[in-house]
Amino acid sequence: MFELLIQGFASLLDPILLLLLVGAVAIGIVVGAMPGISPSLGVAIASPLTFVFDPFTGISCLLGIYIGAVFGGSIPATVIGIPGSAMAVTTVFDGYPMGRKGQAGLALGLSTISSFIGGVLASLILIVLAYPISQFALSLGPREYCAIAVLALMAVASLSGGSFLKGAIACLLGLFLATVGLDEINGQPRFTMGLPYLMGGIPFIAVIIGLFAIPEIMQRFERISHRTQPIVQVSKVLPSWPLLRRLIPAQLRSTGIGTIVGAIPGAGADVASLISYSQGRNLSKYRERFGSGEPEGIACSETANSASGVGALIPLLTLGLPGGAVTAVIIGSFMIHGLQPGPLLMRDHAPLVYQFFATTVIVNFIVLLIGLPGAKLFSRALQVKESILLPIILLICIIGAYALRNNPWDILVMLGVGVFGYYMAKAGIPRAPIVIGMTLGPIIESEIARGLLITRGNYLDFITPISAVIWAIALLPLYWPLLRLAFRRIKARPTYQNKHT
Amino acid sequence: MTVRKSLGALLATSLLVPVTAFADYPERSIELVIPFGQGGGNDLVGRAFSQSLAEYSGVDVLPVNRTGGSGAVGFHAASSARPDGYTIAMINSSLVGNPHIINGFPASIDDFMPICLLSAEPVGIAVSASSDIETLEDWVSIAQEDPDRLALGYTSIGELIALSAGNVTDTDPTLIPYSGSGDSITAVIGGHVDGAVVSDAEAYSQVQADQLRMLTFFSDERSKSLPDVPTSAEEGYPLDIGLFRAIGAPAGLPEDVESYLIDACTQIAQDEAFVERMNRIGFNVQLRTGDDFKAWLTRQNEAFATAAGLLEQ
Repeated sequence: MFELLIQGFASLLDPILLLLLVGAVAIGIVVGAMPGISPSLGVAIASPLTFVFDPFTGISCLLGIYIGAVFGGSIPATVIGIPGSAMAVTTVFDGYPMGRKGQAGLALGLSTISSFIGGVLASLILIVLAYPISQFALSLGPREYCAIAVLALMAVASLSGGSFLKGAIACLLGLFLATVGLDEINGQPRFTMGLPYLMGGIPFIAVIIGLFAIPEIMQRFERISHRTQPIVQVSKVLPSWPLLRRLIPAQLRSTGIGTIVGAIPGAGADVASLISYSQGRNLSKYRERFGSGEPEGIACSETANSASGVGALIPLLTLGLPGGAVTAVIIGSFMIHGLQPGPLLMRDHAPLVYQFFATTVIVNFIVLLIGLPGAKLFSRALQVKESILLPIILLICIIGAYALRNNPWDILVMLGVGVFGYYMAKAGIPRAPIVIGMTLGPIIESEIARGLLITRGNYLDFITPISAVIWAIALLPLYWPLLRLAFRRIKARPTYQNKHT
Repeated sequence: MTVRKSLGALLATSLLVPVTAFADYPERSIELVIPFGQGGGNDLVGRAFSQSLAEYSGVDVLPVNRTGGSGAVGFHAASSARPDGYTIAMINSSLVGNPHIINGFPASIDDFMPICLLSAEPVGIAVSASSDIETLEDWVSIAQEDPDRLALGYTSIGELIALSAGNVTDTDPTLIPYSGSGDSITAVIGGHVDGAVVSDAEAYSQVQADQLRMLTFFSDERSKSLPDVPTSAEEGYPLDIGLFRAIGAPAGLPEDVESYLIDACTQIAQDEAFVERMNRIGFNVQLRTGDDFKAWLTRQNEAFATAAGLLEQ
């Protein structure tokens, strides 16, 4: 195994291949940074272009685009407050306030370093523990997926920005919006008003872009004037050593969460970053600073989504099963390159699999090499005159809303949701919980239904040992205050007795 | 007067355009609507076909994924496009099956002019390779003994295939819906369901890797890629219902465009590069065109309608 790995790295020493990978990662970062162009769309578009190469080069390029795209989402999240995709929503929460405080460079530097750490550590886990993890992921079924999604749903509390009630209302709205369309279990239309368009559901990406981008653009238009705009500082990019050292525990924890959640077929990078962010906030010493530009928030979110991107490759490379939407596209490319993804891949093409392992490690180094110098460059976008910058952003948003489903109605939905989001922002209602509701609603609903079908309607069987643990963690915030009170009482009792004896 | 003249000229050209367009079809790029997402079977076949059609016709063929609602969005968009041959679509068994099970499904096979069948995949029941269920007979006897024991995963119109299978074998396993065949195969291998309704293309690599075992295919003929698996007819349960991938155009297509596209299909289906590419992604090319294809589609539609009748009982 070790020899194969060394050979894998050696095969990547080809300078032309390295240049191709640098190009692929750069394209991936652009893809990820464009709101609406999801990593899976980017990989699908690039996939036919790689057929001129041999399978190793071709698929390595796709892995480069994929991992680059997962990272790229943090750039618009930090610089202009628009998540490139659902997995970057949690990055907006701390990255954007840091940018407004003149620390955009540092925020991007942190997200680059966190993505790098998450990606490289997850790649090492992939190399060493791919088999045990994929077996563990396979052993999880609908009942565990459901518990994981509920755990992620708890992030609403962290992403409500002060008023939990308003956050909960927004989350319920998101859960409702997710019910529009064909239901996941019986395939029957709900709230479609007979319109074929609504059968496809409310377009999720268009809602994200509308909720975050349009209100931001409108609010900035309000302030626009002919006075010279105050120059936004582009801070240094590299975080100081004490700061980095403080973030290491959060990054390690997020790598673990991300890798495992990514490897689970029922959950992806968006779920991973939500869980990591809310657990990170609960465990942090600086929890009250989360949401107003806390570096630890960026570290949790970005480490987890990168690790989860690599984690999704675990079931792909070991079992030939998709760990998420992007890996489903990559499986298709494997087949077009004449490789049958599956357990046989390791037996028949072991050197190739180790080359892919090596590629994921190298690609993460390329992300670091492009991301750090790029951070300074990207954050300079903040210094562009708003009267020029805002129309460009609006144009990119319109393209992004259209691109995913090639449906012009999606643009109208995006703009309509945007106006709604503007009033939400004015009313101080947080917008992220809508996205959480829309992401998790379909997962929770269909996994509950599947789980109950599997247990033949028996609610007691719905809790399995693993899911019981996840439920306990998910519901911890509800019973923790009671437990704490109980602990205090127990502790207090002896002193009380001492005083009176 | 110039205004009126130019208006007249405009009117004249607009009347002329369709005629000349058909005569020189195709003279601009063709859009191939794929109603399903990137990376799935329809997408892979659609992209392979569009590449070959572009080479054959000399114009660009743009595959466009219009996804959502189990094909509702894409099929509706394609069927309501102008029938001039510049919008064609991947049509498949979802178009035949969904109108029977989804209330208000906005398109049906009647809204399309079927051009050619590219591939038909037999569908059957797969179990985990470690399962003690070895044959269809084992499955049937266990299911008849204890109707609550077996759980069978399916995807989309796999429900109708599962119901038909239950009807001919007189079994009634618990049916569990999954959103994609990858998910249902994962659930079988992970041991969360006992079996899944999948096609030979979907099961192929996992069967080769000894992770899945195909019990049977519900087809008149054995699968080309997995020829060792018996058909249900051989086991005494005749049933012919499966998945297919085909090319269609909005109904009302002019005859010359139809015959152009049929010629194109016939050529492409014999093209070695296309056949090779289809085989790689797990599909065997099986060409049917014209009246033969239409009659075949009608039989498929009847099979699905019968199955949907079972659903209502």
